[in-house]
Amino acid sequence: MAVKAEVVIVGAGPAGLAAALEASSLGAEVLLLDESISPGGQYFMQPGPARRTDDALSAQIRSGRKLVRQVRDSGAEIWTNAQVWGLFPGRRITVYRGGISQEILAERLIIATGAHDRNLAFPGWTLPGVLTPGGVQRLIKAEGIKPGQRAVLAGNGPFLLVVARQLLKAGVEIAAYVESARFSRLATLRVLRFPEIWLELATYLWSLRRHHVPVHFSSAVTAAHGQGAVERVSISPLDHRSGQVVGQTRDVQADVLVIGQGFRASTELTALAGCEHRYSDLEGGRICAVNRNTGETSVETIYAAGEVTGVAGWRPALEEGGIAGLCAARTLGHWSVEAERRLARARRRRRRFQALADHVNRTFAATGSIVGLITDDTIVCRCEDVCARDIREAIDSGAQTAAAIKMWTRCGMGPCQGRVCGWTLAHVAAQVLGVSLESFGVNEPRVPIKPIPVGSLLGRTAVKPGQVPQAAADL
Amino acid sequence: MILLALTSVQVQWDTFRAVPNFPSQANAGGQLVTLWVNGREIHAPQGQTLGATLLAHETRVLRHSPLRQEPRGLFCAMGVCFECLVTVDGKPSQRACQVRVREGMVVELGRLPG
Repeated sequence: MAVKAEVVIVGAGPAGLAAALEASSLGAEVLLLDESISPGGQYFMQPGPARRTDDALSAQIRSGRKLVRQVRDSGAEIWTNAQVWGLFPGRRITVYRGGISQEILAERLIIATGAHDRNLAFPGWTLPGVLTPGGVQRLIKAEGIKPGQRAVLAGNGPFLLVVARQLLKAGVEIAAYVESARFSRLATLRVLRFPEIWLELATYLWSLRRHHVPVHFSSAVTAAHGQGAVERVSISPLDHRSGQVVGQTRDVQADVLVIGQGFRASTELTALAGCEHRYSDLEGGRICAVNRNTGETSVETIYAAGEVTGVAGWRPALEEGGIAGLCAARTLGHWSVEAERRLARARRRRRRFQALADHVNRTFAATGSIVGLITDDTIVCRCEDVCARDIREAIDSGAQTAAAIKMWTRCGMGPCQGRVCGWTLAHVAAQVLGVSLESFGVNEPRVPIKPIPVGSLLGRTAVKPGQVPQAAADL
Repeated sequence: MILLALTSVQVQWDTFRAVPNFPSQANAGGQLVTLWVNGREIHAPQGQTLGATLLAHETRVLRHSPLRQEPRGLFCAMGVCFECLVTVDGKPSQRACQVRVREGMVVELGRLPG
């Protein structure tokens, strides 16, 4: 027995929340789904149940909480701990929640599944203590713990600055901040044109300065070492064109290594929906193509908003969600004069914030591939222990696509379903085959898009529409 | 525009405020629960993710990789990578970063490969 809703939104980050608020405020029946324990996504991440809440909460957490409250007050229903695992023709969505699988039928579907951290493999990257920036943010903000005593941050992109400040505020020492982009390039960041970010940027830079954090530009972490866990990290300056190590490699002691090179858009559902995508490495790799005026994808009645349409941060995501929510509701007959105004405003703001995001993305773009740092023995697929040598041998034997390499080596067959290894695989393969990342492509996602217990599919659901199943304390 | 700038100022002001004592395991809010990790008794605030609890107790090696038997632990800490697999109350392959601790939880590390 399926649950029905006029507008179903997958993902309760800034985009999903904004979409829910707009659609619901117009009178549409809205169901907002999120896999986490609370709505908010990454940017509006809420403290977990164990986190002290009598601390001075940041304005960000308060804003998020306020938005969630507004969404609930508008009449939208929010399901948390709800793992969407399948999307079938006719906007049939399957979700795993409270130990059982349920079906939802949507008249309009808004996919706002966001993005996750992206990494290029290097020797030692699988050692415990090596974490993604998003992961560190979650451990500190939501769970209230220090990931270690002494950290090195490395990679590319402005998000590392955000996490650096969080680490410093948490009392973790930062032994080195390693950015692969060139300083001369970063210095061209035109903050005066976008006053929204100059204060923010100044804050991060001031944090680094105050704590005397050594900053390395045009550099990368080329290896992590340790017995059982990270103990030492090698930092090397790179030539920005060739990506080769030039100059002295330095070793630094650390028990936490935070590595991040941008994000990968979570396009599993948009791919299942048959939407058209485009490729932009700076914006998350494969991203869902949308009509920016309406949020509609190439598939009628299916919308997409936020990072899944191109990584650009929370400001564009909020506006895109609003646009999609308004337009989806309009096609269902919910509209008003006020809504017309709001739509125009959201479109204006989105354009401005997108321009800002484009500028930041382009400025931080690292040039020169560092795939040469990956040795034969470096693990590419963590789930299945597939190393670079295995990939290269498979290609030599005739495997030319991500799917073929997967069949040959098992790279991408593990529980992460290619989310973590995909980018490294593309880099390694593109180099061997002499093709672009875009043309090498990705492994097509299949149902279920996240692992679910088989038992949840057997037997009938005993839950009636509207009835809330008991959410399991774990999963 | 002014509203936007003011909002930015408000957000940034928080960052300049004196940071209160960062919550440690000792002074975290909420009830402390007892759980067992490979037979060792540990305490954690109820509702914390198991991954965070283990990391706070400096237990970083959670399992070993399927072929090479290399040490693995938390990586993405948000349910994407499936590296933090542990056995919880007899159920294998639970993501520690998604499981929330509760009283009497029995955790086994490295019992099953991958």
